[in-house]
Amino acid sequence: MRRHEDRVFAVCLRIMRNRESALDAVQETFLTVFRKADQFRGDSQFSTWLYRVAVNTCYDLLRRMKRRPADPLPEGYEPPDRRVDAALSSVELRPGLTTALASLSEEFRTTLVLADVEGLPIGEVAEILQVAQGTVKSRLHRARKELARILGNREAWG
Amino acid sequence: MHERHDLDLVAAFARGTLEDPTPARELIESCPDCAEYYEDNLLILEAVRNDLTPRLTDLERRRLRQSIWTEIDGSQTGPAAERVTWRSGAWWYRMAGAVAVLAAVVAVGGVLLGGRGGDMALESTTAELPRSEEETAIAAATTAAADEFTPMAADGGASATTAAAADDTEQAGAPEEATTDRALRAFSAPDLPEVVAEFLDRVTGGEVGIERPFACEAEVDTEQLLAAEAAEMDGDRVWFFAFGNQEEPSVQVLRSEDCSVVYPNG
Repeated sequence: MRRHEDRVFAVCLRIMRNRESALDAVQETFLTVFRKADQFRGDSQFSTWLYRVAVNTCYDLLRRMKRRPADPLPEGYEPPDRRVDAALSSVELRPGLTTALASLSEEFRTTLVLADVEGLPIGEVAEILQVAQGTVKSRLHRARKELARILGNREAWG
Repeated sequence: MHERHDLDLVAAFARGTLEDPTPARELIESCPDCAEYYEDNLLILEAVRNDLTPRLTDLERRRLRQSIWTEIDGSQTGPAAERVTWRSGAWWYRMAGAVAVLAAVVAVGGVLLGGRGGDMALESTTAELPRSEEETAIAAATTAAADEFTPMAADGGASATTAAAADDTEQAGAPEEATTDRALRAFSAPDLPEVVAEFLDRVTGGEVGIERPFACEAEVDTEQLLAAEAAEMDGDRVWFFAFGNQEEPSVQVLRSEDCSVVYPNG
């Protein structure tokens, strides 16, 4: 756990976009790993399995959060910065990676975080997300275009 | 972007991972869309380089570990049948509670003796106590799990107190401790997959060496051997071997007595 907790936290934080929620996700991830340790067959890397659990846990938590819009916001909740949109119209204000990632859809964000931020190979990302490699490539290309547009503060191309 | 263009090639070129970058360079020079995608990739790579990797604060780390420990421990002792079921299959869950009790006893002892700060070493604390056979087995079998899931106090002071207990235990001349107990990790056959997973985890982390002499040497590809570690499965000596590269090792478990393959075929 010591070895993986920071990386799992980094992935969860970038998917969840909120520190408290990310911590919840990390906790749930490691509990799930311990509960389901007998399901790990050793035919993939342990870290791949761990990432898969983490991503699925994050998705579950995000779904639960969406289903409960009336729930009070978690302590320390940082709402998305609405100035991002305004910033996009100004070349002077470029958002950082975290802010830019937060603007992507869950699918794109997760794919990009795993491949480009965590540096995992396409095959492993596909295994984690349980989709075909072609799907990962497609998502990745579109996510990169979108992220670059936000980071570079450029107009979207047709 | 033109579909016939190899975007993977462009992305790989941006990352500098191509052995021969000429085709990618030509593609970028001849295709404006590809050049733009190349720039996109450079922009993202720069953003990733400049971005600080999020890390847990010390307080978050302590709380996280404590909450996981509490959840595991609480579920084990709680009345909920569902939770008893999910943990009853895992060997460290069954043993974790006993280890926690031992740690707590030593921690209280440390407070009474007046301890000082330091890193907590659960193996050392358990070594100080008089042991029943079961406790000895618990300590041996849960070395790794306890190492990962040391119950941490929510505040630094309590942690320091617990750590002080460990320090005092060592200073009081605790016997050989982990080295003798570690040798044989005991588990039962149904738990083999998770023990393998844990072994893999430690191998990739560079925490396991080659214990010599190991059994079944004739059956083992010693050139590819990364790690060898003895354990005890249902009372029988078995050997865990890891081969290949450390990033992605393969694991084989052999029964010491007849060198039969227990894992992955078992």
